[in-house]
Amino acid sequence: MAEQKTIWGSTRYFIKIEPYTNVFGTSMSGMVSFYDTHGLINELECKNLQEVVKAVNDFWSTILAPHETRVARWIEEYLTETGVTADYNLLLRLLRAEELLAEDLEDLIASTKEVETETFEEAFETNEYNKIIGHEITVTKLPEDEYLRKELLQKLIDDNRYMVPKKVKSRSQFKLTNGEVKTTEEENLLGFGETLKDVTLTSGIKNVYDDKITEVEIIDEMPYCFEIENISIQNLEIDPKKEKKDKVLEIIWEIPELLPQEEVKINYQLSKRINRTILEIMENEVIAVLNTFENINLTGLEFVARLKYLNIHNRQLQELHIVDDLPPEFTIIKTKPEALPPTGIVEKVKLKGINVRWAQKNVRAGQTVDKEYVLDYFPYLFRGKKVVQDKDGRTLFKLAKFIKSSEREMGYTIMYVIKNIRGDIDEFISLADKIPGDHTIVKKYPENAQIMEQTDDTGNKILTWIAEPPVAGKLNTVEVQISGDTPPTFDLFQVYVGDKTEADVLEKESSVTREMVKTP
Amino acid sequence: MSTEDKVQKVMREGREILSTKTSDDFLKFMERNIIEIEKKDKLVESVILWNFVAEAMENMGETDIVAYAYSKLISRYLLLEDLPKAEEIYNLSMEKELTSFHLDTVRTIFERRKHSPSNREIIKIHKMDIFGDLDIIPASPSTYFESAALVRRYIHNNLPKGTYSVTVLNHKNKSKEDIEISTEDLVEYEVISMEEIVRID
Repeated sequence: MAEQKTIWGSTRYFIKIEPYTNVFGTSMSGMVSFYDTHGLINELECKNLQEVVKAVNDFWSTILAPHETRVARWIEEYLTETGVTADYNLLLRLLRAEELLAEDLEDLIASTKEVETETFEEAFETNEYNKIIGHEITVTKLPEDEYLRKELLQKLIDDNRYMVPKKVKSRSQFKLTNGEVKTTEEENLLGFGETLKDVTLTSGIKNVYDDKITEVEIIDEMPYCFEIENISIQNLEIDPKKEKKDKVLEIIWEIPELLPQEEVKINYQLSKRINRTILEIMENEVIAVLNTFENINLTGLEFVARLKYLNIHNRQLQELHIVDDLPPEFTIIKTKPEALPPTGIVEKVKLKGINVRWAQKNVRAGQTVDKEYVLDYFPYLFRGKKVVQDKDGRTLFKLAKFIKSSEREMGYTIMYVIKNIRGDIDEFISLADKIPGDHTIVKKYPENAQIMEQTDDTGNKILTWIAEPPVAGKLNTVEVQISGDTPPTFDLFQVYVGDKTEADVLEKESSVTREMVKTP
Repeated sequence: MSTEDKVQKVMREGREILSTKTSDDFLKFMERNIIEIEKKDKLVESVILWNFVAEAMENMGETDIVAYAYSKLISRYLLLEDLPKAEEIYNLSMEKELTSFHLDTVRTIFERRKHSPSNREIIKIHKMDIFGDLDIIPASPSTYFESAALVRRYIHNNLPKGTYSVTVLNHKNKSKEDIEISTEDLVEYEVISMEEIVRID
């Protein structure tokens, strides 16, 4: 936790810096706050280290005459006290506003071209439907200046890091009865599955014509950052073809014909992968950049990822840099070998997630560099809210469900809340919710809360909380602790008012984001 | 070269830059030279140059740079312990409705240094519930605050933890402002969020 620290030479002014990452570098962002003895004066969110040092220096020079070396030393000491190992020389350099960054570095990159990666895929034992994306970058000269060199390598890594898309492109083609060939294209939004690791995707086609359409082909362009765990197509017994393209795996469905108004829905269950960026630095200013996509496997109660690297070049690499971006749903329990600075650094970036950076010099030809990660879910919170309206659109109740993770073997806690908005209904309200069949209620609060347990046809348990409606504007809450060694089900409950249940869903929205929240 | 000559030289070169290059180039040149002068504790000369920057940029309609120059002027007058001059620039910046992060910071420092009279009063406090709805809670009238930052501190110290929307009446200019503030201990979570509106007949 960042603390206020007095400006040297002043007794009434203080600065607080809250870095958003534990790794010092020019990309370090954070919040800088200024205080006097009355309290907060102002605060500024800074996008990078240059903005942080400028904010501190500007404030400092408002209170005292400018003194760059003292400011740099102060920031270095401050960051070190918060557990971030800072570099005085870099701070001073940024304070002196030597604009060495973006534009100059861009000039050093002479050319970038895509390269074939089959040999890498073979050497790295990449799965049949997975891919390595490769680029070869030529720089005019690797800077001798240590900071510029670091900045350039960081820029190459950042420019080539894989960005996980939120949508997946789907193309289709079909023939009308008059022989005309039509094509369509759409982007389908990725949804979330039953557990944090899962991602769902639905694509498909509907014949909107009055005649049948024939020779229907649907191509879903699946990004390599997802592993396909399961595919199903409604009402049809066909298997898709898969074709590896440079950036995506094409899933190709061929359907002989569709009758008027007939619709086909394709459902994918996907799993997130670790996105790895590899920078191989050869001696002659040629740098190879590889993007690989690594599976995360559930082994017992743990998630494990084993990542392989092999120097396939027939010469020694000057330097090897690897950055592994974990899906934000995960946190690291253990790395093998242990990530110890300066060769291994686990970076935690506020509201973004975790990445692991490895650096190694003089990697021999044929040398392997294997890493293993043992992962767990990042602390999660399920927040489900339902607004119940009557047929005239007036809000009657607001209901909520929160699931909070506990230690894996401890299970999780579900909290249900009812808020009565109008207060003119006195019938009982019931919330029926589903949990996995092998999960058990251990405790509930209040103890006299009425919760029934039943098992449905699919073997899941249905918990029904029956409650009297609270008075208008007030809340009625129950908390249930559940044990189970698998993750909970992320879904909303069904609501009943007396014996009436939901007639229609008017609006539905879902998202997964990293947030700073208060634990309910 | 004497400091006086240096100031004249910087102003002359500054004018040349103004006629050939952009306002940002002008500011960069001036600031670099002013920092050098300030390192020798020549704050009076710094004030002359910042006044020059403010005037030149005002003529060109560069309000962001004028706001920046004013922030520098207020802070330099404060360092020189010249409160009347600092107040003059402070008032000018208010009249011209200039605003920037640094100017706001320096104005708050000036207000506190000057012990300007309290002028803000909390007239309404809403607390946010678990659904994000704002419920009104009793406010404590006739407590006056010098600045919005002190209102924030009051909420932090005197109300139970929560997320609040506080309406403050500024008696000086009779305006109302809403301050959003959360005093909760926030924790980073991966949040899976689902929202539905359903109809029951």
